[in-house]
Amino acid sequence: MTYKTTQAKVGTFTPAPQQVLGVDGSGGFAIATPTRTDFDIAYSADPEFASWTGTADLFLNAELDWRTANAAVYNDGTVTTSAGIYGQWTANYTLGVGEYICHARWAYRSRTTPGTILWRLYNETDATYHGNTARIGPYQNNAAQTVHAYLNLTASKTFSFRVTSYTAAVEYYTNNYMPCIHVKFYRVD
Amino acid sequence: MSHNTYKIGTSEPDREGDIAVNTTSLSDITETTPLSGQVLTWSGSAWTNSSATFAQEFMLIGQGETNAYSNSTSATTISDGDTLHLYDTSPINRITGSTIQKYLTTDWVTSVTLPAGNYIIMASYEVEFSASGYMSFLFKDSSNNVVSGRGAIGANLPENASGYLQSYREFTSSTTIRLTITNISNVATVANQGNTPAQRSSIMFWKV
Repeated sequence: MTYKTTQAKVGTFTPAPQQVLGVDGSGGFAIATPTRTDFDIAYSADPEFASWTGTADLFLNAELDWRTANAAVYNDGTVTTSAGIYGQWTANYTLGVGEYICHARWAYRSRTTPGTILWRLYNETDATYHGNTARIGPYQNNAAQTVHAYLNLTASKTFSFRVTSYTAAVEYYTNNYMPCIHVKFYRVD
Repeated sequence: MSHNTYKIGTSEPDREGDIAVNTTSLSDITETTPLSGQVLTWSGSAWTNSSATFAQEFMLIGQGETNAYSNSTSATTISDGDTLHLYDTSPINRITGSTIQKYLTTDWVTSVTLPAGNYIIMASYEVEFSASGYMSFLFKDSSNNVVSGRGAIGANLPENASGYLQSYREFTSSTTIRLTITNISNVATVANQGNTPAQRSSIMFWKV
């Protein structure tokens, strides 16, 4: 006869509230505090830009896109992307149910005169903005600001980074110029 | 010869006396129908099945709301050494043991107190300028010790600095910190800041 325990106690450990019972590396049960490891960054990119030029008219009410050719992606499956109007550039990010911190930065090179772009995380599904407004410019490499936003999604939503105003034509360009762009959605639930 | 009548919960022995025990037969597990990906979590008195929750501890202040900076201070000018305030009616605070201090009865945050631990510290701040100028900022503790790297904004920066502050810091005890101006030129008056600091600034602390 094989006797088995009547309680899910593990070794001599006493569990604390919120700890979980998981399987350890040896195949046995172990008590642990859960942490995200390989899937804590839902989506990340370190893009390599090709030269690409836009004018102010293209940007107004359009999305700030990014190129995914060399993106480093750590995605637990809760984020999907879709191409923007320039094909290889990602414009929209669809996030699944969960809580997220969005962390995004952009930089650009002024095309003619120094200009400024204001941009923000935009919920395309609900037509709402989230987090602080960030600014790019007025010169090449200063005041490249960052968007921080908290999202608590009870249903899947699609987001973009939308320009809310601008003051000059701009040019995305990284040939011998500091690329300064990333988009991350961290799962925090 | 009859089967052994011993049972564990609802699990009965097979004809060889072995018992395959389900988790529902364990006395300290209170389980509803499990879903894929769920785990057993200790509630303090029993194991229950639920989606895993993760101990992410972070604080986010500054989410784009609108409010005049003149509501954050009685001062009329912004000077070197001043504290930069952040507006947030509902800061996201998931750091156990931390507190957020605000100016009078407003929603302008003046400082935060973080418990001992290791933190990634991030800040993005924007002000209005009266002319081409600059502003550098960093975090200081209540003894005026610098506890972060520096961020700087402005069209006429005298130093090479990122517009974004990002640092790592270990606090060995509970520490109150504030975002402090360290270098400044041609920053507009408090009255002329309008909503810019509220709408465009944010700070974030991530306990790691």
